[in-house]
Amino acid sequence: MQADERGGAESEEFVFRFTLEEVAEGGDEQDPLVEMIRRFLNDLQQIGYLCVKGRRVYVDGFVLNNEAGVLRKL
Amino acid sequence: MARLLRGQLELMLRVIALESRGAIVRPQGFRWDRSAAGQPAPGGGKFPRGYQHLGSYQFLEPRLRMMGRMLECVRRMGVFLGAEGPVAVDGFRLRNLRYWARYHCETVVGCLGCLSGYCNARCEFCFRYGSMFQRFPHRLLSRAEAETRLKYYDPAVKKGLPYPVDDTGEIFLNRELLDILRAARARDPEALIDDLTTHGNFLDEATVARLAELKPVFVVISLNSANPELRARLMRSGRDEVGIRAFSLLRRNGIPFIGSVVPWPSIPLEDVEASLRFLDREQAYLIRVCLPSFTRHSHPVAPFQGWEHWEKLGALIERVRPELATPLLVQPSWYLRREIRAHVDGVIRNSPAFQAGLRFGDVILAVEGKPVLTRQDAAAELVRLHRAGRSARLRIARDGRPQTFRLDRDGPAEEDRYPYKPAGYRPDPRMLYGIHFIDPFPLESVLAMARILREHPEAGRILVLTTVLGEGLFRKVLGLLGQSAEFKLPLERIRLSVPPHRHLGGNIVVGDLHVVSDYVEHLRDLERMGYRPDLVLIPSSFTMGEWGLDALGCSYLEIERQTGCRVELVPTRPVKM
Repeated sequence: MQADERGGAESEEFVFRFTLEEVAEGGDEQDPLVEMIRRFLNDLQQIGYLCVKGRRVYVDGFVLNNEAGVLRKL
Repeated sequence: MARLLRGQLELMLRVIALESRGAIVRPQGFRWDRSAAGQPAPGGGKFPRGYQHLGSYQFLEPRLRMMGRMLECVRRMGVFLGAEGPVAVDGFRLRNLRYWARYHCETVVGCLGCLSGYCNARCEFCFRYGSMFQRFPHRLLSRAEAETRLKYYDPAVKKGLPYPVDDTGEIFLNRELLDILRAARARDPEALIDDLTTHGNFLDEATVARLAELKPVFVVISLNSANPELRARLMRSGRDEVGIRAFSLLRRNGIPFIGSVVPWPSIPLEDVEASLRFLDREQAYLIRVCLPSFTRHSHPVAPFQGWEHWEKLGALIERVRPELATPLLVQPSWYLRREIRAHVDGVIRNSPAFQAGLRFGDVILAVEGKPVLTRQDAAAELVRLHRAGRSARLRIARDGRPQTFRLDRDGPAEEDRYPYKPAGYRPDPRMLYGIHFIDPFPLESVLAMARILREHPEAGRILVLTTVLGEGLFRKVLGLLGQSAEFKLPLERIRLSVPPHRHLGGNIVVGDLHVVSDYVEHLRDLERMGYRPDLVLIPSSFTMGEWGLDALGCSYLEIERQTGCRVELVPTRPVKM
């Protein structure tokens, strides 16, 4: 185990831990592989924006190359 | 997809470590298996003890929540594999705390985050009741957490670990508080320990004496009423005699304090006046009067209507103020006074300004011969002179006539000028020789606005969203400065508007409490009336932290997304409530 894995450089340090339960979302119909990308793009657009040639753009969906034509909405 | 997943995980694992039931796990692989995915989380649906709440970190570091959401998604795809088989990842912890010690904390106490999320009072006026904002599980800061936070806090650069942004409760409910403050004092021996707000009902003689050992300390303490019966009825916390007596104990122990009063309508005006006079006798540093506010969530039945109650309080304050030696800070501070000049709102007892004879209502025209137009100008000059260890010559207008005053430089640290600078307290340039100003109008936000407008020359219709209290002042500033060479604002294209506080309702008038949905609905209303702006400017003070999130955690970018109107935040500072 690396020295800093327990949270800091020394083992007696307080551990700042977070539970995944807090961010768990219901509804498993959505493929998690797709959901991961959807969440990432959604979350990204909450804390910043995407740009094209320096101009602000919003994306409202995405298409994966392995399922051409299937538009996944954000 | 596997490569994408591996890449994301590898990056995340540089700064966090995965956990299973509180222990670190070091995954060596991952098996796609949706049937085995989704291990039960600790706590079985109840928020587990000993965990930080991601929601309360989102205003300071929303990427923590992002990582949590990503990991939760990964967990649903399959199982992590450890050396001895599958491991059920159910959480994560920060690793390499030196990396995480990167967040600005203005004070040593600030690096600790919320000292207590609990409050044992049930104040009639508390507008935090109801579902106003996101509610996080309450917690008390432990000594162990505080010590680690202090270890990683660097007073020289004022940076520390990420801290939760929680509702603050009564700090003395935390039994480890004094030990924690003692540790803070050891970390930063000369720092002023402030950020201590209390109802005072635990401040008995022994506690105040222990607090005094940690000086320099500064306290904000709620009086609300100096009448124990009325106070008990209003605050419902018990031990009101202790709370009222705490003011004289603080004074006797040389701890300066701001005494706070919320003149709720159930308190007779003569009692409000008696409370202000009580705080003046007890030599408060400042008397803070919080004009009563409520939301539709905290008070579904409005306790009062319109402005009448505030008007009565305003008249009382203006009548009593000249008879008090203590400055009265009325919040929201722009309610009684909306001007940009360097209007003196009071002077701190025993300060150089007090001893020189400055008083409420004086308007500073020049500092050391240099003309000043605004409070910001005057404050900047005073700070500069104080830092240079100099006295300050002021030209002021009193009742329309010019006069000159000299403010002496502060004496040595051991000199006792309670409450301005008790013995052992270092003179602070930001105390402006004891001159108290209300929040200045943020002229830099008008400069920022001019810059944004230069970046959007195509915008024909420009909408500036402001607040009930800010609108008149904003209009005045635009009229005064808009045409000057420095600003060159296209005034004919600018429209000011005030969105109603639909989400909070009640009598909330402070813009910092607007939420995204208030702006969206207001823009839709304007569009229905035939006005659609090309550019919307909103003061950034309505967001919490640097990420543009409102108090509900919603990004300001949602306004643009939902309405299609271009939105820019205008950097500004929050106006005290």
